[in-house]
Amino acid sequence: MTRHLEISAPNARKPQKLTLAEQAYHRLEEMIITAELPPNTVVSLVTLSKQLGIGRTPIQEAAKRLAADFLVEIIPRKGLRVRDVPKDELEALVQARRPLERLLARFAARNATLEERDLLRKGAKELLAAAKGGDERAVVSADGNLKQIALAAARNPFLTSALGPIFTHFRRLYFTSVPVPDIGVARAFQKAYNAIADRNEEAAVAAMDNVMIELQRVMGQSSKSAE
Amino acid sequence: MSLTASKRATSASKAGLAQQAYRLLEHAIIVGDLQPNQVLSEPELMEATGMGRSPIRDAIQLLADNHLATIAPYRGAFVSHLEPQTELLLLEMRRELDPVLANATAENAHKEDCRRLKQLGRKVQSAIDKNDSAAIIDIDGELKELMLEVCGNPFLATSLRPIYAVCRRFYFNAVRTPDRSLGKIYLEMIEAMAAKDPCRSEKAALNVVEKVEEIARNQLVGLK
Repeated sequence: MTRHLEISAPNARKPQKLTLAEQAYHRLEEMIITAELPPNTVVSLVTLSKQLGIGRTPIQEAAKRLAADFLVEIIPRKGLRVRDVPKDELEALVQARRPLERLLARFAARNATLEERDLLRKGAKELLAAAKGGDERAVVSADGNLKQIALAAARNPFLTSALGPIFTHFRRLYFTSVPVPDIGVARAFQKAYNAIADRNEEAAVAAMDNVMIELQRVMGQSSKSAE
Repeated sequence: MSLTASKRATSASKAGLAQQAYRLLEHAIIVGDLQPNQVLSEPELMEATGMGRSPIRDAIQLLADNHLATIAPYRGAFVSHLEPQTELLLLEMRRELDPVLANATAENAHKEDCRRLKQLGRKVQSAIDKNDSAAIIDIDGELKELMLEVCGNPFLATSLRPIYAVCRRFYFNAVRTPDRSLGKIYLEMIEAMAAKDPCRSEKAALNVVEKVEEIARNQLVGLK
């Protein structure tokens, strides 16, 4: 899944103009995460094309990518169906996400620039403030922002393409299962991002493990997967 | 109903052809028949493989998904060039991921999967006995695909598939005869999974990664 970035991208981080297909992908992804398009919705590509004001071909391209990320199923001649959330999805997500987050923490701590380290500290502070204020929208935006900084800092295209779809599915689950922002999770994240900013690999990995435990706690699951 | 079934069969065999074409191209890249930066021209590949345009095109997309090819808008596809250090980066990732995959594979393997694992184990043994590295490239591809399917976790599978493809390229590009001590622990990993022993599989998987890392480091020193 090279689409989440190009292989030579790690150093060239100039914000690039998104193609129409990418724009369509992000819009649809957001609609699925926030359940604006709830599970099992069947919608035609023509309808989506009209609704988003984006042509058929880019919409089709976006649909293919959403299908590869397990978010939709393509129904020939009908359009697409938003996939249901499988019962064991959280378990599968945590099993895959835990080792990848450890790697993210390790690589980001190793490779972050001075500027990225400042951004992580600042972002983590904002995340905690948003959680304390109960501002869900601000939490989602600060969280997404921090993930992007950390992924860029890790400078590892394989990690970026692996974590992309996992973050998306996790956000969808989180959005539907956790009604108010959780301060414990925000604190755990702050500790992890601060450890990355301190360039302390081992502390960052340990703190990220703790984030996963906190996430599982709020999402109402005993931590029984993987090990 | 019968219509959907037959349609499914068609799309399954279409995916099968693309997979077959992918295996051929991946093999050619690994052994160096297709060199880094070489252009992947559809007509040439169709002629070389005797396969149709559609499976070749899908296979090139799969190569790109696995970081083995780069598709440049308006310029077509070419074989990716990867820095030697990328192998160590990937092996560092595999230290975390392989044990999780081996554990999940052992945990979820059904009888039929265990039978296929044992069968692959026998193939590995015979390839090592015959000093047949080229055969091991394909068996390793088959084994990893089986594990990614059996583990029951699509997120783990899409994360690891490209990492394994690129690691295979690095490893077999440099190692021309099977390494017997690696073969031994590799077989132990297969056996542990076939025995449905998650703990043992996890440990064996870590041993395999560490051994491959040792071999890769020695090669890098040799390069300098």
